[in-house]
Amino acid sequence: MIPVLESARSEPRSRPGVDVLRLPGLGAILRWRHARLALQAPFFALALAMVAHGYWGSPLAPKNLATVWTWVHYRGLLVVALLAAGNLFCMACPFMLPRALARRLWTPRFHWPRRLRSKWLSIGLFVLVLYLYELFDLWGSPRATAGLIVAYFAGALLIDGLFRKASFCKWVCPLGQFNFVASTVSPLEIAVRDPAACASCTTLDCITGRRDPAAPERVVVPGCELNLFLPEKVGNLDCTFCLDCVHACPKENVALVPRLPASELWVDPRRSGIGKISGRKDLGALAVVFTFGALLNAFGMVSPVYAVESWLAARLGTGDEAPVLATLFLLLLLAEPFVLLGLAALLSRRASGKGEPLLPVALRFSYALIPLGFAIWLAHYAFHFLTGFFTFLPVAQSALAEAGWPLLGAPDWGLGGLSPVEVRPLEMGFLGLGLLGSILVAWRLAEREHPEDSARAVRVAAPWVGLFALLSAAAVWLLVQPMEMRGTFLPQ
Amino acid sequence: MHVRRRTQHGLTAAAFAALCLLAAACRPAARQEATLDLAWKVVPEPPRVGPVRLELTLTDPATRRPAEGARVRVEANMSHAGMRPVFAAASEEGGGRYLAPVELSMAGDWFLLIEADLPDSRIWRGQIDLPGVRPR
Repeated sequence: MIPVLESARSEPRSRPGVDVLRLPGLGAILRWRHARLALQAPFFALALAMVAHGYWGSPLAPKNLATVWTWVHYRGLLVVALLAAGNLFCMACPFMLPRALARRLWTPRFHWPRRLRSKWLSIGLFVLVLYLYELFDLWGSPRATAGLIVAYFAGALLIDGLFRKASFCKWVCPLGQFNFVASTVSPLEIAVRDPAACASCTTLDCITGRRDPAAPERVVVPGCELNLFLPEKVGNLDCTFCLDCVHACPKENVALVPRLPASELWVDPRRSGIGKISGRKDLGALAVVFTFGALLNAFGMVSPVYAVESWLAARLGTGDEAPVLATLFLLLLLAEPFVLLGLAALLSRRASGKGEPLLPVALRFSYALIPLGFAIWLAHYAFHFLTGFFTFLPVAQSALAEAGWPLLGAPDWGLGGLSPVEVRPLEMGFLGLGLLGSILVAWRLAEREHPEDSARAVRVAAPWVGLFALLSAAAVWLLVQPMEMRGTFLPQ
Repeated sequence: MHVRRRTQHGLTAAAFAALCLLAAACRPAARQEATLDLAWKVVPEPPRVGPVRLELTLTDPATRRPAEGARVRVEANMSHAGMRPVFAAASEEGGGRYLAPVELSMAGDWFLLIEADLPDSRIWRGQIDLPGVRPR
């Protein structure tokens, strides 16, 4: 057994070795009290520039900061950061900056309603964003993109202005949920350095915050606002990498450590702030929507989608895109997963011989979809990012020139990036890695279920491996389709 | 202490003012915009991925005379951000008619930005929307 796999299986929280927070230079920067603010401030400035240019700049999407930086660079850098490090974009989230400033002026009074303490609301919002993206062609509309950014700012400010802790991040933000799920395959994780130091801790500052000794009711350094108690925290789910726990812990016992990506998906301890993931239907649904949403989002960019939409429009007897798109979403995000996961769970249950209800089987293995789902997002976003990599420059040149500040010179609109042909092998490589990751998770889940019977474990995992192969084939098919990006779904 | 801070603020303000002046100095002189009528045709119709021929006819609306002797450039963009534009120079065919070969690299919505440098050094800018370019 590979040692790192063994350690991930036996004790996910025990992580000796490198601590990024102790690395020379980078460690000092990350441990700096204002590290998050220093990351948020430039993102905030960029967001303001994007909103301003979205509303008042060029209405042409390829020449506007809002559309180019959001749909090409932000999304691309987001998935690359998740792949290479972790949830860095939640760490640098600009939406939290006005919220942090507002909380200096007033303290929210309410607790997030108990009935809404699940991911269902945020799953709905995640699907809604995907739906609006297709319906209003957000990729082609600077004004609508700017509106979306403003909506995020307003949502964060409103929710966290009313409700305590990080209610927006944990229960509402669709982007945050995407990052939480994707960061389960990231190579870095916030964890306890020495569990013995936590065992002797009496103040629990990492969760309650560090208080002013002179006025104990006053929190001077906040603890984890997402309710992740470090000694019982497992993996990256719900972790925004805000580093509050790092600053709050008086024993400097919090580390940022490397781990095997996706290893948190095949263990099922009780996780602080989350519970057992095998009992969280909402988290399982999030993993399913995350994965099938990746296929759907990529499907919206290729030629065959228009044939399907035309066929659906004819069946529904409508020329209106909204109901056609809604039907497509229902089919691909609800009906398709229901059938495919149901079938895989049925075959897997038959192989296990346990006679367990289907839902827990499907729920347990739904987390194995995540590596493949992330790979599809990565392949899709990396395509736009790499083929349009240098477009950030002419659009910035143009925006400055429009503002009367041509500091970067005349825009060179000929700048692009790699050709689609050059990016193709990379996309296929990502998909291959994602498929391997999903197979590994499914295998480890099956092995956990039948530790003494490897042959049976193989048979239990096999239907899931078949499902991942099918989804991978669908993803490959999508990526080799001729792209077709248009705002009208029916031929003119 | 206060004097030093004031000096720092003064220096910052001076640097900012210098930057403003520099930026203003760098700004190219605006060219006079011309008003022209545009008639256009694309072959094949409807356009498909691959080479298409764009036929432009430019007319001065005041005199109803064709705009001749212009240097016409075409920049074809997709409506999705981040796609590399395609550039083409148009050849003059006489009578205000210009032909530009444009290579449309992908299916979907395109828009074409046309710029014409007129002999009297005025510039004319126009836009043609080309939605729903079909796959090859």
